Amino acid sequence: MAPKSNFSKEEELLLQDFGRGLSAKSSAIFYFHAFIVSTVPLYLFSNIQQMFICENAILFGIGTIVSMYFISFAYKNNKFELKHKIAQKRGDGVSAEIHAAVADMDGNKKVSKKEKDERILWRKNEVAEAESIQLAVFNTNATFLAILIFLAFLIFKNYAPTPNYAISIFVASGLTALFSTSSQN
Amino acid sequence: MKCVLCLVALFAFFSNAVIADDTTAKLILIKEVLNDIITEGNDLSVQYSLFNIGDGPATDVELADSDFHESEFELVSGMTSVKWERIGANSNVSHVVVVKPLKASAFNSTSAVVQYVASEGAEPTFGFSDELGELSIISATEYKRLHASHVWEWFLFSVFCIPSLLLPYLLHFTSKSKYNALSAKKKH
Repeated sequence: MAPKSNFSKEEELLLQDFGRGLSAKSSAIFYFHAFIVSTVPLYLFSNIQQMFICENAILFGIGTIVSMYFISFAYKNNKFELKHKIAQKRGDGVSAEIHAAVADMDGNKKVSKKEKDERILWRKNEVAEAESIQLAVFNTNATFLAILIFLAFLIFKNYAPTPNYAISIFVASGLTALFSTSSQN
Repeated sequence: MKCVLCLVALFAFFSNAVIADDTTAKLILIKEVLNDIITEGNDLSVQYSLFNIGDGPATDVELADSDFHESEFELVSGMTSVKWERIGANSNVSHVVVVKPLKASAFNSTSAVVQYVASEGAEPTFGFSDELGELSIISATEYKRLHASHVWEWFLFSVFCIPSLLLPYLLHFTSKSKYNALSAKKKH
């Protein structure tokens, strides 16, 4: 028989906030950044590898969509890993912020400790959410672009442009997604 | 004894005279491409060097190269048919032709021909240069892909990466600094 859950309502809310699910806003941010980082390398391929956009539109389209999928997957994984760590580190700072905000409020209105703790928890989640999104985007984009440039302009530099693009974009986005699945305990 | 000496002197005089009359020129023609990379639309320089390794001067020297057809090459400077009145013994001359390839393709280079009179009254002698074999003319696109420096392209790429790299990091760093400062203040 499964044991009865001993989590309080606040703890359950905390678990919900720290799950893998993404809000609509987070998803929109991730897809936007995935689109930008997948299309920026097209400039390099069109001007350095002399692959004209019109002639290679289908290949570029497929490469961009596949790359966006893998990079979004990597964003989600990285954000989940980072959020918990950031929330632990921001605890003191957020609590100081909330205490300062409460102290500035009207003196007659007393705020209970429970309400303060709820505010701290909510604010900590909000800050961790925002910071983990930004840091996940940065880490994932840096990894993807570094691998892509290394493959396309060093390893496969003398290959024909079409296989160079296809291999580089798929391997770079695939490796970025793969690295994001590692958990650092 | 005196007769023998006279005969020997006469023989030496006439043998030298015969040798002096028997001087012939011998020309060696070397054809070489001065470019490392041959590109469509860029100048291609070909140098022809004539060396006279014979004892006598070469006269009425004519050099001709029929490799560079008008349909495939545009003549920029120099001539593909050149004449020299005389090339002295143990001397050399050179001539450079600059052409511009109009098509990117493999190009089969054959020998240039030199015609000259090796000695006075002799029939014209023909000589051929070395054959350069098949030369590869790459397109302007391929040349840019392989050999251009692309500094400007890399600079613009780094600018385009700002929204993807610099902005997210700055936002994270700003928030991190703010809460680290609050945390440090609380501890004190």
